[in-house]
Amino acid sequence: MNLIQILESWKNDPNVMDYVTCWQKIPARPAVYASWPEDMHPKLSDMLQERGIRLPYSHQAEAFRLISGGKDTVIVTPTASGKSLCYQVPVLDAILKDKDARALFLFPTKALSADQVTELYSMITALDCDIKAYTYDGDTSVSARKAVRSAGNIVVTNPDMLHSGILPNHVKWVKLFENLRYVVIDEIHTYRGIFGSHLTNVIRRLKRICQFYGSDPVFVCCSATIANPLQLAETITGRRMSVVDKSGAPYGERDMIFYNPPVVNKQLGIRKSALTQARMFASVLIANHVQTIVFARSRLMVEVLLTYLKAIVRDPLGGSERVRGYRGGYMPLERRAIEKGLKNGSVTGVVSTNALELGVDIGSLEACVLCGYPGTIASTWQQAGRAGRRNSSSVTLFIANSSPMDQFIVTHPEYFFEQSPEMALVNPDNLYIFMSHLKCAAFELPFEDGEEFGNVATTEEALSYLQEEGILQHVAGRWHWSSETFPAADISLRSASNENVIIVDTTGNDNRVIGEMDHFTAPMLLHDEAIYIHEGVQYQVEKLDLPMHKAFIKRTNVDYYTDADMQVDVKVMDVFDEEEEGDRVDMFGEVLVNSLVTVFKKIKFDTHENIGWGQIHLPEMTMHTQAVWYSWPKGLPGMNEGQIGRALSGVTNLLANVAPLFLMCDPRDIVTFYQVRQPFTNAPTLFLYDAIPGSMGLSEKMFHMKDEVFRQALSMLDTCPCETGCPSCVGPDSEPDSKELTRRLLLSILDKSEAVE
Amino acid sequence: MADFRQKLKMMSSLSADWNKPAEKPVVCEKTLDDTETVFPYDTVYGRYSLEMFRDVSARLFYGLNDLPEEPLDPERLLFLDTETTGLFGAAVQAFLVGLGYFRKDGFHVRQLLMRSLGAEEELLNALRDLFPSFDTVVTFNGKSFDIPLLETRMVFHRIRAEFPETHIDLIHPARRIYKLRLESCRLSNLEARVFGVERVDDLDGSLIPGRYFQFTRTGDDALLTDILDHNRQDIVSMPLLVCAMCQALSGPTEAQPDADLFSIGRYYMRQKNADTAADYFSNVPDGLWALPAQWHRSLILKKTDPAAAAACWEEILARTPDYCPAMIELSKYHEHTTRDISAAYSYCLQALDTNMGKYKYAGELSARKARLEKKLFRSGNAKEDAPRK
Ligand SMILES: [Zn+2]
Repeated sequence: MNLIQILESWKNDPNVMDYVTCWQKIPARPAVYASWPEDMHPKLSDMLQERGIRLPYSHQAEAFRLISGGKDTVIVTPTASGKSLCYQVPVLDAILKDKDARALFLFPTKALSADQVTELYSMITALDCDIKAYTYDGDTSVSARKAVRSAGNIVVTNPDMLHSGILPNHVKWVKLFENLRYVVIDEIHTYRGIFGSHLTNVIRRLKRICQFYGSDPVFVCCSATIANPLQLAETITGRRMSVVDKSGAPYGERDMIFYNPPVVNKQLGIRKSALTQARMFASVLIANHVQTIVFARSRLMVEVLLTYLKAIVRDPLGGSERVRGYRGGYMPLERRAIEKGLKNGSVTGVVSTNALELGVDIGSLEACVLCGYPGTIASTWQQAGRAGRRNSSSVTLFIANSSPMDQFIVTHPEYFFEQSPEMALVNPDNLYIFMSHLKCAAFELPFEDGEEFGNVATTEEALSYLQEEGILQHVAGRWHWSSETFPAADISLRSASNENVIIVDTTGNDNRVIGEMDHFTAPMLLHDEAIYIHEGVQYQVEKLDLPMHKAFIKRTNVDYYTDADMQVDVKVMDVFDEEEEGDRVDMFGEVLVNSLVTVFKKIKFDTHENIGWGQIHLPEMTMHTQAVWYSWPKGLPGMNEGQIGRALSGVTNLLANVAPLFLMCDPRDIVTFYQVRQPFTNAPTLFLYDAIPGSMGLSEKMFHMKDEVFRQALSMLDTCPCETGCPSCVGPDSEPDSKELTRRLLLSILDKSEAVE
Repeated sequence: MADFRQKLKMMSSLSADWNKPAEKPVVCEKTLDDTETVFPYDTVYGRYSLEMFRDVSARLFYGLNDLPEEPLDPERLLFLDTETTGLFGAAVQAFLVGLGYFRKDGFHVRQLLMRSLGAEEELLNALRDLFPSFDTVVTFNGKSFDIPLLETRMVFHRIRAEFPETHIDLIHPARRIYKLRLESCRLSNLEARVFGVERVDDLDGSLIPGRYFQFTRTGDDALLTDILDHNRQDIVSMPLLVCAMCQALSGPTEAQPDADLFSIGRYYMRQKNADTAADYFSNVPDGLWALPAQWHRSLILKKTDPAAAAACWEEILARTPDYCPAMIELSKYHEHTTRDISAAYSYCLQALDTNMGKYKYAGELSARKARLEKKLFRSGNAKEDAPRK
């Protein structure tokens, strides 16, 4: 059977169709071509022609026109539409015309930088000219660094290296900064939350240094489809930007299928596992030689699927190379082998964690099976984009697991298709992040009186505060660095505070640092015995040493994850905004969160059963952040204190699951919590706060969202197949009346506000 | 409502890193201190005195950095050493530049000190104005630290300066001459072990930035005393180190430690001055360095006087019977110079029997053995009388 025949057979099979909640057809679109501008360097058009690019797609030509015209530009295009060419061509053109011109390319990961340089090399070789493109990252040898600094026309690096290696040593990079014409920030949609807030400040520093050396580069950003690419790019670069968002690349017809596995235990609301179902569909596709990519959410699931699918394709000689695994951290060579296999047909199936999401191109396939919701609309489209050929049809099959978020999406396909993809929020003025980079900026170049960092009006006040701290000195109109420290060394772009817990993998003989986490979050996720997942690999924490800022972990392989119970106390410090909604009062402001983790639960994957617990002995943590809170000063009529508690608990749990869908955040970026009698409001109160010190602006966004989130929470509750409440909807410790009480509270919230309207 | 400052305070109270005692900044009126100390020529420092600098040979002096000889006018030499606010990064400034030069009345040490962090431009301008009076700058590790730092700071302030054309960095020759004998070639250790004078109460270099920043906050001159002393001593030590090294290089003496004699032999070999090198090697007395010295000498002689070289190798073998490289050399010598193939073959077999011969030189030796056997066979030397041992 070919793909069309397989789809036809599913359509006629009630065993499939009974569980399909949505089958959407997206029509094909032809290519729209344009032509390169007249003044493009002739060598460049020859080179492109030789590579089979006779004419550019309309968006590539448009990007060239804007970028060459000196316009700061953001390019928004779907996966595999020839996005890199949009900036490579104008940058190469500029260097061909002025050999002193320099460009800086930023990618979020080293693997992407390496890919980019490989591509640039092959273009430069074909151009047969003296253009130098180099990667500059932690792997660049000391001897090579000198050449990169003095001779690199195009320097390809990541934000971390720009922050800690290049900017603080700008005096060694004079050639680059004096001649910097272009700054390209690719995959800009990945810079949301903390990372994006840091990057914004790194770019503020970069612009200050460029100004010092008299250059004024054009900024080019590339983004996948999100709700606010322009706003994000303008925030990060601090410039007004032009948008290129009409892709001229063609694509074939695509079927999108949502599948919700059958319920096997109605009482507990348990469904057949997504893994089993994904396996079933993928085997049919692969057995029929339909090139298929399967995305699973953890490395463990990738392994399980891989073993099974390999067994299906095993030939009489035992060869099973037709199905390949793909994990984060694969070297370019292995990736090329898979890519080649897909092109020549020797590979039929690829099983991957979401490592592939980040722009790395392995070619296009016919079918994409998503085992579990990737978390956001944007990344779902990106993963679906892996299947989709220019001229033939393709299918994306999303198989929901029993988590609340998956269940919400699979039962609300209209949310998925009608809602614009999520917003990427950054908060560069988060006080912690801002102050960190203000220090770095002051280290790099003394601030002048009246100078504002990133147009922040309180710059001077912050500088004089740093003087009191002994870090700066104000002398003759300038703020001079007066400390022996090297501030960039203490600041990680991946977390908000500067006291991180370093995560050390002790599995091998030598201890290896694999990451870090801010110390407010560490007790929740890195307590002793916690299961910690890093790049899809499971680890167990052996010891969290908070005074030493270290967590020691070891590889493990278990079928559960851990969830720590946090006792929280919230102290309101400041109210920024306040609104009455009937009997409910909504407030938004600044809070101090005291948290103490005491116990953790072991919860089975897929079924979410509680299979054990353990104690945690860690000190209390204090975090300064922002929160939104909802309180009922008149109480909740018709409910006693115990019932109020259960109702609030149910809504709290639903909110924790539904809010990330609207805030476009990782569920761990927010915390929800309730108190039956809250000291500040003196009433039953429900809190949602930013889990990041200084906040990412999520609670503020939540404050303005009003009832929409509660409406979706109610609909999530009602679509849950359980009878009286289960871990998926009202949370783990439910009573027989929990679901009913939760529904009553949500109804009263929605009724009241509708009555007011 | 909490104001911005209160928030910053609270933020710092939540983070241990920020709890630093605040000191009232002292605004300083005078920005650049320029002081001068004159050390008369009869200033003695252990085994050396400033007077000895008059006798330094121009050839040896420029040779320290492998440069050809040029006229040496001590008054056109600028000794330079900086004290800085840190080791790396764009914020590092040279807050103190110590300069030394000879004049009629002695050795002048001039110290330019920024009394505030804003005085850098003034200091750099003063340097720019001073540089044209000198041809050569002399430093200790200045090629990798002081001079690039000053150059980048000039770029930073857009000051165009003509640095003295020639740069003699003393750290490289000092390492070549003294490294085998001394565990560290830091200036203070050279003073102790070469001049024979220990520094008293010398300030640990890593404390300097902290002290200086404290000074800029408090204006307490007492904090600077140790830094100025330390820097002054560094400057004065440089011409004395030149005297010490040039003296050591001017010919082997019995007073010189054997490691130094050997090191200087190597120093001259590196400069392709074989005769002087051989002279130093042949003066290395019995002891740890005798064998390597003899070996190096033999390699020099090999080119000019093979027989003398062979004598060297035999002497080496007499003292160190299993020294394989000497056997190989002798085998080559007999094969190609004396054409005594049997002798060559015999040394080759001996070499194969040593540990080094079994591993490190095994390939080379077995090829040699095969070739020699062929030659032996061809020349009619019968198999039975070939290996004579
Ligand atoms: Zn339920």
